[in-house]
Amino acid sequence: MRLTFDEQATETIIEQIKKDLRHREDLVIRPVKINEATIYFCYLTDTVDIEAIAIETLKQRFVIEKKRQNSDALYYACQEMGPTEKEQTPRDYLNVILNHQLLVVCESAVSVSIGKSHHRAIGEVKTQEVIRGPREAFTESVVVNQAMLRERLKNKRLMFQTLTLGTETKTDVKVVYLDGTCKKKLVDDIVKRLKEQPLEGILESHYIETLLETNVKTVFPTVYNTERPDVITAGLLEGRCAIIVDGTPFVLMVPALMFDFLQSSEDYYQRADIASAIRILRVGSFFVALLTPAVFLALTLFHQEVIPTALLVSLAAQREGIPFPAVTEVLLMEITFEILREAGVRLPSAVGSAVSIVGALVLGQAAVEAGIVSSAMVIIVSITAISNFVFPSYNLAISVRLLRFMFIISATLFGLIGIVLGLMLLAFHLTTLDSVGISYLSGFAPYDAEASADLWVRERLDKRKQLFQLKTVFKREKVRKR
Amino acid sequence: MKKKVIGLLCMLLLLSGCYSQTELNEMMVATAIGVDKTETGVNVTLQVLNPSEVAGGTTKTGRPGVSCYSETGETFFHALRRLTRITPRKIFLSHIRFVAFDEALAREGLLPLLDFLMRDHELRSDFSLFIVKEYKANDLLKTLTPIEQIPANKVLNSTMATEEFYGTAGENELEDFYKAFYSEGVEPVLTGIELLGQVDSGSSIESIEQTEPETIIKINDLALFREDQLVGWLTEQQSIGYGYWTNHIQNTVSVVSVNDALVTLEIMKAKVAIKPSEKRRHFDVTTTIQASIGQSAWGDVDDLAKLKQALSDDIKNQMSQCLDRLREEQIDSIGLGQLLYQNQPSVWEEVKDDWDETFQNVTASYTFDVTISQNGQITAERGAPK
Repeated sequence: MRLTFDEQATETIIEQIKKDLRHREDLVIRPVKINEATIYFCYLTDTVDIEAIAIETLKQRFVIEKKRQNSDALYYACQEMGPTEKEQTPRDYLNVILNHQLLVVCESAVSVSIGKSHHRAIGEVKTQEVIRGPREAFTESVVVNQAMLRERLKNKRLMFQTLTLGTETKTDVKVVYLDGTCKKKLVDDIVKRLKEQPLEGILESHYIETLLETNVKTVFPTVYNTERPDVITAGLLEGRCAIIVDGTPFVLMVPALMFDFLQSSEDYYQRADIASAIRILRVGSFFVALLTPAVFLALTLFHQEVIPTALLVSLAAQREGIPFPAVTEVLLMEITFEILREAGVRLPSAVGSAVSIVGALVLGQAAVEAGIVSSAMVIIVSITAISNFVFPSYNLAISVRLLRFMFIISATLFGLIGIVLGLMLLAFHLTTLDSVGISYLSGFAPYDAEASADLWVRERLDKRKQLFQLKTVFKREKVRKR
Repeated sequence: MKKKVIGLLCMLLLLSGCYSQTELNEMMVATAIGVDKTETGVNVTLQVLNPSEVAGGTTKTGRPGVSCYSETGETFFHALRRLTRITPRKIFLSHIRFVAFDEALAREGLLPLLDFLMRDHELRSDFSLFIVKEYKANDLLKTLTPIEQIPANKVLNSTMATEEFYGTAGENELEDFYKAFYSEGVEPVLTGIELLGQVDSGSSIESIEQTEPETIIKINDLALFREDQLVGWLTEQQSIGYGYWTNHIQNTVSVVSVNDALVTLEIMKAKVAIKPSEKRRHFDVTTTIQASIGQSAWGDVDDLAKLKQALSDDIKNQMSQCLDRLREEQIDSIGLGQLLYQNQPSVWEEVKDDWDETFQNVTASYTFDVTISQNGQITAERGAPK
């Protein structure tokens, strides 16, 4: 029996592709003869796993299907190679090829997902390190990240909702949630928000972080980001919603509360009493990082009577001969430190040690010996800086860095009254904040007896009514309208 | 528009400048004030710190840790403000340790001077008051002390040690004085300070370069006040007696003679309960003493009862000496009137108007409950007398 082929249809599709991608040098159109017909494989160089193109199998299967008069012969034949889909419009053809898939053309067009991915392997976490706990970190590939979450949550209710965002980049974004635990309304709201605002490109998850923020006028982060799969898993179990963005290991999570940024996943991997002590220490260092230079200035400039005499004498002796006012001294040291820190992050590791030597010598010893700053000031700046590194979350750390300068100025102008005023404003500000509608201080304000047991200290896991307590808080609180 | 308003309001904050802000190196920390009487008013002496000499970790030049500035004026405050003409920096008074007055001023009345100390906002009211015996307060402040680089600290530490281990002095703060002054049926006392040795040369650094400094500051006995005026000094024994009466004794020693041998007892605990008896102007005094043998030339342990008796007699002697003296001066410094007021208000109402005369005739009966609990670390093996 002689098989008939619609050569004309094939030619039209190929011409269309050639025309659309005429500027692309990396376009490969590879014809393969089968009986009288020609099958074309279209793909971009190095994006498709060529090994996976099984021409012989395809030929045999195609002929068999054709003999059966099957109109979708190509579709069935291609399924041997991988996940297959029928493509209809020229626009679809283009998308398939640009999406690193194989387009097989013969009369009709069929896409096969045998794309080759160029991603690094799963590595260790770099930002939120722990002593005890899993070390795996998310990678840049959305597929790998999705698999990592599936491994940890073997639950049929684990849902992934895929969106393609970015008019130019066409980035894969997945909204992950635990159906039934996470409020459906919250997921819908997030998806709506993401779709609402078409961005040209999404290169990192921060690009869509701004779309999720309800309060723009704040220095506090209201969207959590992490490269730790265990943190995201715990969040999903609490009824949060995670957003994986292709191309970055940092996965977003909402709602994010103030206390989340002060907690480390390791809190739950160590004994409760020790974890509690460390958590209290962390809250303490939040205030140390925020207020130390301001309190020091307020006391030495306005309230010398509260400093013990011996200490006052020592501080006064150190200040003898210092040419600058105390506030200049503080700002000088703080800004120098910020410069050093920024340099330390950006510098190639090969020259990193040079920075630390210069920093230690110039900032510490030399400045004091030259009589430009007092040695007490070096101690103040150092303890502030060290406290700032205690936060497990980098984005809260930067917020505190900024706020510290505000407190320094208010302390210089008004002393302790200024600091109290600043703290009041800060408290007002924090209570008005929300993360996708959930109050930023949830558990503490509005108060929730059960959840607050896990804010300042860490309760023993077996003492809890519910392992993931925030669940009830999230369930109860209404999603605020914007 | 809203933004503009907020911006303007923010600028308004900056307009306050740095009101009342003082850099640490722009001020002069005073540690003590001395006030003396002059013909036209008062002479105020300030003892101020020399931070770089006192602080640890800085290079020392060998100059004294403190400097003194003095100036006269019509009143205390006037003199203090006139001082600014000679002091190198703004005077900072919040850290003063004590204020000392000379006897002449104290006899005239302290109230006008204390008024400033109570009224001024910069002063904390937790400093002590002292009366300098014979010499001027200026002499006291100028005297340098070895070991303590800040003489004011030496005065205060000595006072605290005396109060804690001997009982003749008390750290009488400004508020205590005011409390006693304004309370009914009690009069204030203050601790006195005596200067020994060559008082004129105590202010030079050579004085403390010797093993024995030229001038020695000694915490003396108590000064008696009627209202705010100095009337006299208690003796050492009377001062200890005063301590017993007012339950201020934390620890002291008594030397008693038993069987012709001297025994020194350390009083570890003393509690005095005074009860006004039904008989008017009579007080029942019950003293509970816990003592231990501190030093003894006496070996017979059987005579413990005798020892107890001797100790009771000694303390009774101290207390009655004090009471006799106060009766003589007609000053109720130990607060018997206050006690009467608290226990028998109706009786107090009758006698309060002429309490000073009534006080002259008060009597007391003493009962003692003495326990001698410890013999110290001495044992038969270590040479205890048999």
